[in-house]
Amino acid sequence: MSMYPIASITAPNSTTYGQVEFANIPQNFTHLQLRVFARSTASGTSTIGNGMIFNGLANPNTYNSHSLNGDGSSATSSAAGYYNILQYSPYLPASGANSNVFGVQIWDILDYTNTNKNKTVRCIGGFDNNGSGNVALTSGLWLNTSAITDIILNVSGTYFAQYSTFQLYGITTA
Amino acid sequence: MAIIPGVGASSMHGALVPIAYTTGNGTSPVVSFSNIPQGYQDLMIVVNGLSTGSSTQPAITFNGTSTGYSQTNLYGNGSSAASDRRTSQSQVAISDYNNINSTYPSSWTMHILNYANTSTYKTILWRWAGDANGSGYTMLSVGLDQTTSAISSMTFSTTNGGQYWTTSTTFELFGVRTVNQ
Repeated sequence: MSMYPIASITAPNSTTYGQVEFANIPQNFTHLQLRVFARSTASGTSTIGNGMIFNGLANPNTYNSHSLNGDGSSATSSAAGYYNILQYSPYLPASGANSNVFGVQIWDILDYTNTNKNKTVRCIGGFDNNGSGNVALTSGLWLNTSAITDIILNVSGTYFAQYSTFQLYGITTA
Repeated sequence: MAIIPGVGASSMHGALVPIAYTTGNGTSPVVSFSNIPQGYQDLMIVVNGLSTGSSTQPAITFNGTSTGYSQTNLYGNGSSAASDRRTSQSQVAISDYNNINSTYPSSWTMHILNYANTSTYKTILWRWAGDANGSGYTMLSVGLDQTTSAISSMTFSTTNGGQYWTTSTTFELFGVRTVNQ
């Protein structure tokens, strides 16, 4: 199994990228990995991560997600079913967090070109803010058998902060 | 809104590049990587190992600094799941429960994204597997190093007096390339 870089996006400032999109994703890999280093401009200390949309399809009742989250005092699990966007991803720091604090997320999207099954994704990530923060495992289900050719990540109504970076990789197998 | 009109596979150079490999020596509590190349997007570290002691709590520090660390943990101990945190620490405790010993090897996979950026603090994400045959933990953690300096060195220490990394403990450092690197 080998991993290859496909594309990279970096926010040049905090007012440009309300969402980032990887389009025309090559179909010659077995899996995808998306590595995110980001912060939101939303108010408050944190925001519940970012939404994800595949192939530009924000259709109702097609995205489900689960989260196992630790906030420094307890572990909790949540679910978001039948949404038009993949809801749960690990929290990101927001404008109320300490300066220069960024969150990380590592997404794995297995067998993304297979047209015979729905798509499942998983993610680990979080951020620490020296006294607050979250760390989480999340999973998502997209009820669609299409190959994934396009991924959108958004922070609804706000922006990804300057220096946020998004790296997409393809993973091959034998 | 950022729309990338089209992306193609870059030239087929692997993204995961081995940088360094070392082992414990059985007599030192410290293992370090220094002069880390700055030309990658991320770092990934894989550790599998043991301590010569019975209850060792390993930790990591960066750039020789012993201030400005914190962490948030999510863990399971075989009977329940919980979360806790440490603030304003002198190091990041990579297995927060004194569970490393000479019999049951622990493993860690650590990710440090954007490690060479000099405008952001450094966030470390890692998983620890510490099963001890009837006890033990599995843990996902995120840590913070409150410095904007690029990470150029890191040190793994056992922190407990008289307890050392065994000779069978392996430390692997990888660089993760992105496009045009």
